[in-house]
Amino acid sequence: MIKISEINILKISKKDNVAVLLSDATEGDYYIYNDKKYELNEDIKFGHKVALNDIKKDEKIIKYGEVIAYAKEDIPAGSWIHNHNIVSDRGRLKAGDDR
Amino acid sequence: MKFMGYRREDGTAGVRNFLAVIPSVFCANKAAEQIAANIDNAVSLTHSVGCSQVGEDLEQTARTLKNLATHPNIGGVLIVGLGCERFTPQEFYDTVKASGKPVEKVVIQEEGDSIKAVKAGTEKLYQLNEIVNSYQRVEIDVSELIIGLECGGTDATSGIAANPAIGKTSDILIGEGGSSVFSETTELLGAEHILKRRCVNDEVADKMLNSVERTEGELARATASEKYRHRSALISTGNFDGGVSTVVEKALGNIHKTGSAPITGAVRYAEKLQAKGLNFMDTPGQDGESTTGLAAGGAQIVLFTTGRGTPTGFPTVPVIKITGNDDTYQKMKFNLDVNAGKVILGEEDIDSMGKIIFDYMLEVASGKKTKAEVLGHDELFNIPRVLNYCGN
Repeated sequence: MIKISEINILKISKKDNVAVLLSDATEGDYYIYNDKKYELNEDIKFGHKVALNDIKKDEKIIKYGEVIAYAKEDIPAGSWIHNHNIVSDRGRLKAGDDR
Repeated sequence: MKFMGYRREDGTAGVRNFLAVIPSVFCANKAAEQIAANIDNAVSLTHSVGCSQVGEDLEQTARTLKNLATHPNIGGVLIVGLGCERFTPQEFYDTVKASGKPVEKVVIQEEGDSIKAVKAGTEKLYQLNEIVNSYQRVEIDVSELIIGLECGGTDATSGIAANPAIGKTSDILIGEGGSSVFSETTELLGAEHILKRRCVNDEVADKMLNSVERTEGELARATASEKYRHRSALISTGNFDGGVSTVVEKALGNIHKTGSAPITGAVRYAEKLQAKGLNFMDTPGQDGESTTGLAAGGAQIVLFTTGRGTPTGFPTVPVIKITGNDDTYQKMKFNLDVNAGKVILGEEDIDSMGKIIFDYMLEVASGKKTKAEVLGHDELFNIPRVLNYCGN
């Protein structure tokens, strides 16, 4: 049985398409965004990010109102956003495949 | 607003009254440690440089050691040399002497051997200690404080709680006429366009942007080879585990440490600050090398934010540890001074937490020991090289 509950997330800037989890959450937990209910597609840890809406491959990932990376693949709303599905090329010639 | 500090011969103000034993070259490290161990209140600043360096590489070592030795947190200095090093004990001695600070030197090859040097050095340090012990704290205006803004072991809470809180602390200090300094050029990548808008003139902005461009070029060169593709991540495993995904995300969280004041100055590594207000210093992102630069630049106290938690300290500058992560604070209470995790728990906001840190900082300025000082942590003293001769 999956425990379902509303989670506490922080959207830092109005422009952001990701939010930060303010506590650990479990697959199936939900959040309300723009009056719509979204369920988490997977477990997400405290401090990590969730996609607030559907994000297409190569679309900008925005946090603090600024571009932090680009999507490596299509990312559905409610997904964990991390280096497995986003990438930034700053500081290296080309993005490596390490963490 | 005032704190109780030490007025130095050159007019600067310190928050501590250390007796510093400083080798002019790494070959004198053990002798320096042994001398310092003999006298209460003495600290040794051992390092890995001073020999076989040339040009900008040698200059950076000389500038760092001289500026740390003449730092206002230090009452008196004993220089320990070997005798054949490029950064000569005499040049070091002359610079400290010119600042008016009490200074002595002992050179191993002149004394005969290291045992004789330790004996001669201990006698000189004993005399210096009598002078330094006579100094008393006096009332000093907070406008004379310079705080270093440092972070290490970043997680996602750093950018939303701890960094904005010390940014507020920095704003309060600058509002009182004081100064602060941020650094870690590698951790500005992706956020430099925001900082550029806050620079007071083109000269300051150009210096900062040139530092970022040069650093990014070096990083690209160092990671270009296919054989390093698994070593090209600019942020650490701890950063990743803490929810920080990219260097740009880290930088955007990082720059909250700078608060909202205009950026009035930009200096080279370990250069003494010239401008009042908020300054940028070009340093590596490594905690030790960065903190060493900030201290040499004149910071009497360093505010150090850490989401993952780190116990480190600096031998001659109090380092105040602040975490935005309540779990980390509960786990590392012996190492961390301030729990800014209360912002995320909703018990404080950024403004009130900034003021809490400011008040704590004033207590530390007047003599209260930080957790890192109580536990004797001093591992942040690291001087970076400009040149290294290894081919890769």
